[in-house]
Amino acid sequence: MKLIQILVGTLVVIATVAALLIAGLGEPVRMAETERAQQARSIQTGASVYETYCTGCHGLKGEGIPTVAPALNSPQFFTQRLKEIGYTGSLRSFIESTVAAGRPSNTQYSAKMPTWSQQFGGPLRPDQVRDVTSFILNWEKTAGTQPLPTPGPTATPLPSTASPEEQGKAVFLADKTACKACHTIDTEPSAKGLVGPNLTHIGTEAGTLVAGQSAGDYIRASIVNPNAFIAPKCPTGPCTANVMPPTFGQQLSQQELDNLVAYLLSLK
Amino acid sequence: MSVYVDLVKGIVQDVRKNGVRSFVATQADQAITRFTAGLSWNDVRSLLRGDPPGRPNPRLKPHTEGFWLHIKPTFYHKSVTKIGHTFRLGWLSTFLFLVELITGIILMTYYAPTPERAYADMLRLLSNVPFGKLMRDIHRLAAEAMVITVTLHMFRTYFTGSYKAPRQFTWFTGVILLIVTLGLSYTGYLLPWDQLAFWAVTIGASMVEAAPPPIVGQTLNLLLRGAPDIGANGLLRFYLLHVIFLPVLGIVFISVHYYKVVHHGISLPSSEEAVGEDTARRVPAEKRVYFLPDILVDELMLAAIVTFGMIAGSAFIYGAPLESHSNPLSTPLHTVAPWYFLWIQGLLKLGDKMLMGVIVPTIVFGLLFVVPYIDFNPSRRAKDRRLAVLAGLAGALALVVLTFMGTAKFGVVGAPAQEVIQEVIPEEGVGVVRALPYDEFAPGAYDTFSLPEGMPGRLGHVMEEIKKRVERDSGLPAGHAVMVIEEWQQDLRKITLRVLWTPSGASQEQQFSKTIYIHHDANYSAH
Repeated sequence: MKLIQILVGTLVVIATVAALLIAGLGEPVRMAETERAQQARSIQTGASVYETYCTGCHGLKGEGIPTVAPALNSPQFFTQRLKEIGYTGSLRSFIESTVAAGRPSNTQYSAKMPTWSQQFGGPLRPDQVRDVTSFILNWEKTAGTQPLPTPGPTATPLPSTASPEEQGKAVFLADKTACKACHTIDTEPSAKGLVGPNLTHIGTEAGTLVAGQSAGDYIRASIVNPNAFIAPKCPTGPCTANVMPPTFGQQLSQQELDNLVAYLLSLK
Repeated sequence: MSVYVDLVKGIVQDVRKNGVRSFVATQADQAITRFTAGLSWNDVRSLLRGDPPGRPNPRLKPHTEGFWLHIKPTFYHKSVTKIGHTFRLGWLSTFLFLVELITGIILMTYYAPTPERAYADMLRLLSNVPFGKLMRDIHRLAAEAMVITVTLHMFRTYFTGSYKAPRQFTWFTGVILLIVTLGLSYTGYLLPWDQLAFWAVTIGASMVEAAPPPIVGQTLNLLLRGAPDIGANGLLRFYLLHVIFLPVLGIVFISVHYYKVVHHGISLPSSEEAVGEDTARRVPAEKRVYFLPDILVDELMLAAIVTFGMIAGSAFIYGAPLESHSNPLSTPLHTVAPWYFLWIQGLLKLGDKMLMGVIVPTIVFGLLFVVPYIDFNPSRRAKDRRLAVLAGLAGALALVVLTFMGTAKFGVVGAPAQEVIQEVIPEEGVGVVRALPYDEFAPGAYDTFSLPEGMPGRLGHVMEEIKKRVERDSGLPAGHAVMVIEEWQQDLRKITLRVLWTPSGASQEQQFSKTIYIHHDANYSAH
């Protein structure tokens, strides 16, 4: 009995050593894989953080919004930016510290970057700042190769019984587009913006602004590429370029865009 | 000085007279005798061979001379060494406690208890410390095993009536050790600082807050968490409870408990002695099983087997969970307490927090403490104590039933569409969608109403599954799901799953959606 116990015990100790050896031999590969997976998941989490907090100024895909905030997916950002400002640290630390502390003064852009880190009163935890930095750095390989804004990824249209005009009106009034924040439509109590042109009669006016362009085409072009033609009259004087974000072509699905155009055309 | 000269002279003389071999053998023998606190080389050999001990028994010396063996009895009654009598549960619990101490001290080296570092330290432990994952897995596995062995140990002692005179106080300290074990597991739960930890502990700590009267509950809660909610102070307090207070309490009471066990001897099977008698310490010579070598060999073998189980189990089978970083602002769906507290969560479904969450568990543990002092029945035989055995079985059954009731299955159910999405893209963990290889996510929009005929690949399979799941849900009339996959960044795709349905009588379709991003290297299949 005792001999059997000693034998079993010895064999089990040998098996334990063997198990440790096998596990140990696999450790370098396992650790490398884990690190890669952690980095990948950091990018994933960062993408969500970016979507929530950053798209408003830096664009849905980091293309930036002229006059508001710089592009983050441009080659210039990855190769020149640090030299321009004489920053001696790494790009990662530059991005992390900028995200965390924001930019206190506006030099080239109209908007000041807020402080995002909880350390400085913002909403993000340190790990979220690191994650969003990982996400931004992941643009490096494709910087500059992003296609120009086009009617973007087609989110699937929601089948609906509402007319295109009604659905387009919903798009116009939705918070995600925030059209109403800058444009006035006299018949819409919530649309009283004073930045862009008054759209109360845009359905009639649109056909008269650019020679050879139908009202529908003009409206569509103005949404997707606002700088193609600068409308003459804004509430506070002549309209200027680079005020309206050029990102709606990406933000809106084809269906939403069609509906929005239909709605605006109906404003005679 | 001359003493040393004489010493050398003596050695030289000895070697000349008896030869080098004899001299070395004598020295080795003396070294072994010192190391074993009294056994010569010949004693050790005869011990290993299993020869009967001589008279007087030299194998008793290490018990009287040495520190480590003075803790152990020199012999046991043959009847208590049968595996079926104690199942070695007390010994197993102690050994697992030792495993926890060793792995715990190693893990402390790589961990700082602050919200800024705790979770990052977990990630680093997993990706940058050789055997780091193994240490963590063993620590967790042994902890869960310890909760089980300690609980089973209690049930064994209860059903064999071993808590009766003269062992009442041994039982009492055992209940303290049960609470220490649960406390150790529970405080350790928070330390990874992930969502699982944060919310499981938040649930538990909110029990404390419910302790009556409010001023007591609030004060205890504040003491435990260091703030109204768990944050930096709470983490530090749980850490200190986990690495200092509870282990020290455990070591103290294990010592008291074990002293009592040795002092009274392990109770004999009840059939072997008359009712009311306790003959555990009066062991006839022919019934003695000596610690050296029989019990020692048995314990070493068990130690080897448990160690192997912990190491191989952690290296090849078990993985300690680690969810995403704790987020006080977002409560995950279906949050549950650690499994050994699910019975309290089950209780909570039967009544309010103060009664079921605080008063009932307090009564349960209180009853456990006083069991030996209120059970006046002197017999340890099952047939004489039907009521006690029945009560024990009822208690065990209640524990199992309440634990089941505590699981998320019997919890609050979210809206149907939310549940569908939680099933396929859970907030934490993997789920069928994330488990797909990256290349399966071909960009496009896939509607379960119009899936391409025989949609290929595993994505097609998953879409079919989702289609079935949505269509059989009575809460989703005319339900379907749409998955939109977009190329987002280098090696990164955006996946939006939208569940749509039309409530009866409504004209507008309603929807619920969730967006996740999947990276090429996320490697969900391996973790």
